[in-house]
Amino acid sequence: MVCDFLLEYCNRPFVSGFEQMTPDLLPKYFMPFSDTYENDRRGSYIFSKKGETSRSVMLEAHVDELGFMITEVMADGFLRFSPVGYYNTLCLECQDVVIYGKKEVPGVICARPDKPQDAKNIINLRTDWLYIDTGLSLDEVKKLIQPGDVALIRRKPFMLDGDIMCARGMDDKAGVAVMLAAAQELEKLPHSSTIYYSAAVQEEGPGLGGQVATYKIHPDIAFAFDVGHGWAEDLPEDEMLKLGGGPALAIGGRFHPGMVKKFISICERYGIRYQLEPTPAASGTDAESIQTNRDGVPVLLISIPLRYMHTGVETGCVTDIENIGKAVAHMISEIDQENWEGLLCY
Amino acid sequence: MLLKALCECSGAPGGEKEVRQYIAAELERIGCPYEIDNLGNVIAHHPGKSGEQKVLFAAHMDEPALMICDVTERGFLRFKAVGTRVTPRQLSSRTVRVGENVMGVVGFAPYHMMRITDEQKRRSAENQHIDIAAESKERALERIQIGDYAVVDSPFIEMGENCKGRAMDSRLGCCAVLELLREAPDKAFDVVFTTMYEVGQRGMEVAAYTQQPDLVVSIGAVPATDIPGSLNKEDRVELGQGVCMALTDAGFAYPRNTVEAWSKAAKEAGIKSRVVQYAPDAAQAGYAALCRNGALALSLLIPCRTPAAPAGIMKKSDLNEAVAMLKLIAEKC
Repeated sequence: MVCDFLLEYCNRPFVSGFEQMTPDLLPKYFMPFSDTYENDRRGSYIFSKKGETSRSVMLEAHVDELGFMITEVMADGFLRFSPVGYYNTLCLECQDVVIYGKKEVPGVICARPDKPQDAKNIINLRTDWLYIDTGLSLDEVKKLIQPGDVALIRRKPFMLDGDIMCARGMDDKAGVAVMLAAAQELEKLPHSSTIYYSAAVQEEGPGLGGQVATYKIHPDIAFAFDVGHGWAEDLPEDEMLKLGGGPALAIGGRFHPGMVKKFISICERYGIRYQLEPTPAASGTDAESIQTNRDGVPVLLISIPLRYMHTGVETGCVTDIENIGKAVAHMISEIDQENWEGLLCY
Repeated sequence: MLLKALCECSGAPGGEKEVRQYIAAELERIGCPYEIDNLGNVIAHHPGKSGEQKVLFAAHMDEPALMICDVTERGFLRFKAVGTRVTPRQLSSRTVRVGENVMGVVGFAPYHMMRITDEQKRRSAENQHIDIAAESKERALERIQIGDYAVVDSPFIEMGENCKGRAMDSRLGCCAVLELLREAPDKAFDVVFTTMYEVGQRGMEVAAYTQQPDLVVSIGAVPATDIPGSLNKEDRVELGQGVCMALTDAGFAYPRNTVEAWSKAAKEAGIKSRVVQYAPDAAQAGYAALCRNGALALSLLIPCRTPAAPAGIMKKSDLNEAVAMLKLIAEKC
């Protein structure tokens, strides 16, 4: 089910800032496991499963993905665009895109022959050496597309081999899939806390949808799921995660030491392989704003190993996602039978 | 749609099996007798009255491709470019088909890590990798072998009057001559679908020798320069200009009176056409013209934006004009 969900989810648009492009998808999958569903003021999808106690646990992942925004229709009908989020613009040449104008318009990203691209362009996200060709005339383009419309890489998600999936926007659709896996697993396990599933908007780029959603939910503890860099050939081996190596647990001041310890013991008890991701300071995820929300929220960040992050061919392992869901569900079930003071004591 | 089906076939230089099988099946459907020669060329003989000149129409089947040359200990594939027209930077973050339909991904360093990877190095084919999600060298070698070809994967999409697809450079020509054979005039002529154009026009050399034509007409694609930032300000080639005839290209200067005569004939027949002064890729006609005692040569070209890249864009009407031109030549010779 997690695999089917991801295959469908990764095929649908959720451009950062435009997360309501596919409003029905998450409710369809999460409602069978939830009692309530609402969109907060910023558009984050929040589901909850009522428990018997007053304690609450929030599972969080961001719902949005990287994309593009059309910035100009040029005189001959070609389009200029800017990335939404930190796209590696050097890998965009010849990529297929879909532009969400009055209807879905296919296009191709092409490189201008007069502007050689160099490595400097990546850092400052320049796209002035690229343009989109829709094959349509200026009149047709103007009828369908206007500046401000968003676009995405066209990529039908597929299984590369076995449980390895290649798709666009696995960052952080894989994280949302972890929440679904956990929800599924919790059906089978006793638990008493109220569980919130928060699919927050606008993590890519400077926006922080997670901050507002967390304030609204006001959880006692939280689990944040995001993707971490998976090792691929030619990248430095140290500090990289292994695809299929299981959950990557972030360790550092941002993450509650009691919860970290508990998660490790759960993984060991249930035979789930895990990896550690030392994160001395900022993690670049929603865990940042969760920790300092209101009076502070003990949070755990669990990363899903992902190759080629922020490109159109993000590659991750479905078994990793399922295992994280399983470990989290077991952890919730277990701590619900305990006194949280011990768990959360420094 | 014929062009779509052709573009979706794989056909590395020397590994044209899939596209050859498709073309052979299409010839069966048309009912045109054909043979496959020693180099894998498909040679079709259209029956009919013989004209003054023996005409050979030529289109190449192969496309720029990759060859797997090594597998790393951790199961990633190293590759080399086959031919000179692979642009490595166009491979980054693209899906590819390796060997017998194994899906692979050419990865790319994430934005966050660009500072610590040697960007320039990664942009050459030898320093990129194909990821087939194999855990080890042994696992990878169960699914592929060293020497397998890989071709880029890119869907064929109709975009209004235009189409976008992979391998346009070769399949446009194949499509045009197949269309010619579908509704050919009652004149005898030969058609060759050649192999190994990208690696030295090997197929054409042999086909020209065996067929001994008086006139060779090759059909391919010419890069359209109607794009932003084009460096070719003069002699702009645009989509929708119809079929182009080259006066010169990177390999040959075509007999001026032949080009002019056919250009005039096209005009009289109401076929949209134009003459281009120079085409950047050496067409097959020029190469075949040097065979045995020599032959007359005409290079027909269909405008296409980035024809050798994974995403070429052409206009459907140009293809129709090219088919009309081929029919005219078949009739008149």
